Amino acid sequence: MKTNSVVTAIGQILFGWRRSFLALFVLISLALTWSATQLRVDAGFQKMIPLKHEYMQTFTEYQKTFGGANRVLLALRIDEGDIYTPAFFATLKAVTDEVFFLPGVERASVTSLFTPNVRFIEVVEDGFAGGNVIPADFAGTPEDLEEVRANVLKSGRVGRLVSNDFKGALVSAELLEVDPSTGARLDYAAVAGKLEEIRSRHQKDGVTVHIIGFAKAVGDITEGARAVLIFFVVAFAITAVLLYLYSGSAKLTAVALVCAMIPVVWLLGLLPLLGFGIDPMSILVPFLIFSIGVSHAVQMTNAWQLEVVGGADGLTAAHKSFLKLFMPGAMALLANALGFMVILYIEIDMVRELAITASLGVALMIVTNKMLLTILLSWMDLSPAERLRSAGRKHSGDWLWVWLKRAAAPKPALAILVAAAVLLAIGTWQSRDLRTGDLGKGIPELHDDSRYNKDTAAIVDSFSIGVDVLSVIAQSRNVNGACTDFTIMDTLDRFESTMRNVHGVQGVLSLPGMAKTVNAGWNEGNPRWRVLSRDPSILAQSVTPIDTGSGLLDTDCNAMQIMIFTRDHQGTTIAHVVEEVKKFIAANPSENLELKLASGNVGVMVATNEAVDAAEVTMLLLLFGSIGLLCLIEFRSWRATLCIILPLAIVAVLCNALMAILGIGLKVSTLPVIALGVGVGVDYGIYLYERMAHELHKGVSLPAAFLEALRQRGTAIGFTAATMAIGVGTWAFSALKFQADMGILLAFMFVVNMAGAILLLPALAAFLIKRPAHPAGKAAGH
Amino acid sequence: MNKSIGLIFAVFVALSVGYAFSARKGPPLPATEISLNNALLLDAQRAGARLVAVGERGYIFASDDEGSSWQLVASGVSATLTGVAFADERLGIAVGHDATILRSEDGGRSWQQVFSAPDQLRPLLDVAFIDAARVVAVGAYGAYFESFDGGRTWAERQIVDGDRHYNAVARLADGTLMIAGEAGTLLRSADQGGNWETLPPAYAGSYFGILPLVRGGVLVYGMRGTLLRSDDRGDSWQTVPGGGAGSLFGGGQTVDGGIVLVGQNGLVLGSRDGAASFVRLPVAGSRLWTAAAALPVAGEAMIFGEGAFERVKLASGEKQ
Repeated sequence: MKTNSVVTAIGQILFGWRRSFLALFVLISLALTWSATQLRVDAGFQKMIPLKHEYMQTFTEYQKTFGGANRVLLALRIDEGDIYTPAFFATLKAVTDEVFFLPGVERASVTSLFTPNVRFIEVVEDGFAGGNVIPADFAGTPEDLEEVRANVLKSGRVGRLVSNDFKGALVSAELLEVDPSTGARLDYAAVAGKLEEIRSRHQKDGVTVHIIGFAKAVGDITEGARAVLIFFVVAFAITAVLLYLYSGSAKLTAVALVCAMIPVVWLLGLLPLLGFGIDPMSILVPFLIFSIGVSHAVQMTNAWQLEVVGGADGLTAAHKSFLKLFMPGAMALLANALGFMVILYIEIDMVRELAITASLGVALMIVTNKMLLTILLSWMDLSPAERLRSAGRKHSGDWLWVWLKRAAAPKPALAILVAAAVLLAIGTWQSRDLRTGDLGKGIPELHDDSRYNKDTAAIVDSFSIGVDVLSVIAQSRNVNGACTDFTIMDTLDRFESTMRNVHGVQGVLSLPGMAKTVNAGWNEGNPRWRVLSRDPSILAQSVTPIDTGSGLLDTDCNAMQIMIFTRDHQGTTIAHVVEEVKKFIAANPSENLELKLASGNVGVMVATNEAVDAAEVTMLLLLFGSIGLLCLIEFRSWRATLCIILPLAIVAVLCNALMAILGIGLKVSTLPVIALGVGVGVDYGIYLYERMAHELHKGVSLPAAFLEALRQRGTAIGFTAATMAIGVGTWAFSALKFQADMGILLAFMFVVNMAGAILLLPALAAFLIKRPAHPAGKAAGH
Repeated sequence: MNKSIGLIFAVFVALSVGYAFSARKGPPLPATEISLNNALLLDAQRAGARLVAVGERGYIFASDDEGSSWQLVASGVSATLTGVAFADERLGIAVGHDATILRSEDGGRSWQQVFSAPDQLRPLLDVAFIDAARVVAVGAYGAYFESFDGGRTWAERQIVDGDRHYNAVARLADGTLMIAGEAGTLLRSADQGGNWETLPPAYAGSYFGILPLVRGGVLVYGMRGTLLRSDDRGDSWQTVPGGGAGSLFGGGQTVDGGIVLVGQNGLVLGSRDGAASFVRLPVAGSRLWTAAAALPVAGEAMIFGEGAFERVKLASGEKQ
């Protein structure tokens, strides 16, 4: 056969020039190791969002105008009594002062009861009266505290600076991403560290400190991503032990580990050359590549061991193993790469980089595992003792294979199919509960019970502060100063009023709403004046006191931002809110006013959810289409293809069901899991079926062919599933929720795909595969 | 036979997978309805057995079960409504910004706009019936509108010099009409609104409401918790103790003559002694309250405000 002659030719060249090849590989490895040291960690926010999505274009367009509310909030909470004690106010003052000196803080923006920008105003008979909430001569006496208590009520800051139950007070500050004097970018991790120092200094004597804000989140995520290195070490160590137990040879273990590490090193070395960095998501790729590398190394060393035990010397055994495994191995790797490539269809840069990085890593493995490993093996040999042990090992697991071969016999096969059908039915039913989007509270990157998200919950619970916000941009056209145009402002007021009543909306903040309150303020605080005036000059009076720093309007007031705070960020909730916004827009067409979706963290989530939903089915069609085609080309049989594909499809459904049961949403991090899992899982089927096909061609019965396939490749498959599941399973302990989710799901996919390959594949074959008409006719020559 | 089992299985898998990955939709979420809990309410009155509350953006809510459930009533306008009054259980008038005047003949279940003048930029702030035919509405910049046909047609009139805001109008038990407003403005009419006299100022700040007391006398309230009471139709005024905590924007009386006054920062005051003294009632939250209406239970009233309504109970045990 043509392909085989090509493989033979490659083998001849490879083993003829094995010293030169080895030298070449060593040189490449050295060069790429050096290059890998240049790798930078790159957690760009832009990479996480579907930039091509319509909403995200609005987001990008208005980002500069309305800024990211890059704020840090520190809440001090007293366990017993209320905040009006001298000790609490001393702590609050100390924290305010320390926040003032944080790096990157815009000092005028620091706000707490102690800062001069917090004043109270009251309407009195002849106008307004006001002052600082905490008077300059505050000394903490009971009278002082009573005065502050009254001033706090008058200041209207309850819920914002003082908690609704008067047990907590807040310090807030804006951070400048770029230092205006030096132009240097703010080191968020450093700010996060300083914030943590403030916490450790003041969290005592019944006072709890809660800290949230983008800087703190970035700090916590970075820290979580760093911990991944430890998981890598753990995964490496466990794999090494398992390899040793499996092969019984330290030499083979070392060779397999080295050959599994080489593609990782090559990959990390190539990334800087390609202009890629590594981010919290793609940092997982090295694990995956290492695990896949180990699995292929195991197949190869296993084959080599069998040859050596069979009596061949190292070189011959290596050459034979190469010829036997190059095709199925390369095929399997190609399938892996295809699985990863279909992820490219998701239009989010971070996912695309994951796809490219993973595909590249797998492609590299064809060279490192099929070529480098066999060359290395060619110099090795087993001592007589090792041969004996290996031989014993070969038969030690045989009872299992003999037992399992029954899966290919008609009756047990039928039972397996029925069991699989029942499982699939249950899985299908469960999977309908899968929801798109993050299902937790707080920021989706971190666990619900992480410090950060607990702090968020504590602050949201006791203050009137929302953290999930969908921003709608109101862009006026051909209007000079939309803020003083009654028609536009009234439309926006109606929009606010409508959105307030949408299920899932907690509150709405908009310029018209604020202006109405200001107008009442100008009219002795009388709520019956809480309206927008039709008179542009009076309207201007109501709008002027509202600063652009509020993020509600731009400097020339042609664009405004309406902030819709949602109760949570569950996919269904936020999709509903967006749907209602669209309804309002459709019902209120205007030449002068365009309402644009969407900004805010919820805007990003909605866009991401829509992108994920849109990509899911196409991605799966591409995935199964391409892998099916690959199998069809390899085995020239649609029946064989079905035997390999059907178990994978069932496992894909089960994966969705598992996500629904575990409360993991379908999102940027979990959408690629099925593709990764199927891409890797198809290996098992290909390796097994390839062997079975050879045996069937010799004319043996299906159970016999299956038994032989299990004997030659079963151990390696079981071992592979175990090491890979362990490799990714370590992520389950990651501080980053999406890594944990991916780890659990991938481990599930790897193990269940293995089960599918050794149970369901033969059972299906029992019903689908015809016995060849010419036994031993044109057995593939090798 | 064997083959068909395999094929049936393949078809079953294909169908299941197709269904499993078909578009998933959660249960539909409740439709968007304007709710009383998200609206600023500015006045509330009883129309017989029905409670009617009016507020921002022309919203009118009605309840036939003492506030257990509320229905949004079509008002046909989007101007903020500031005041509502009923002559009996059927005839009612609501007023508001844009000089909007609405009329109902079915106890507030449906409303027709009978007057509006958006260009004048003068909001109406309160309305009171003199009898079933005569109605008075007052508002900003000295606005005074009267109707002699039960609110079908309206005419405007300048009643005294100046353009002070008139924040409230009320008919006392003896038929005297009274208007309270900006900067201590107090006007009185002894002839059903024909002629008006300016009373000497008793206070420099603004009044936001007038409450003719069921048991005689009249109470005016306003800025910074000002509470004044007169037993001689406004000739003399006494300061009532218990105010002062913050501006008072609305008030009402229980069926047995108890008084409830409400205002800013969650302020709710109650009196069971005919407005001789007031005590602060504990109502949770620091909401803005704007109006109160009687409930058919002795000592109980419903208060209304920013996105809220609450049942309040006057403390018993005080002298009646």
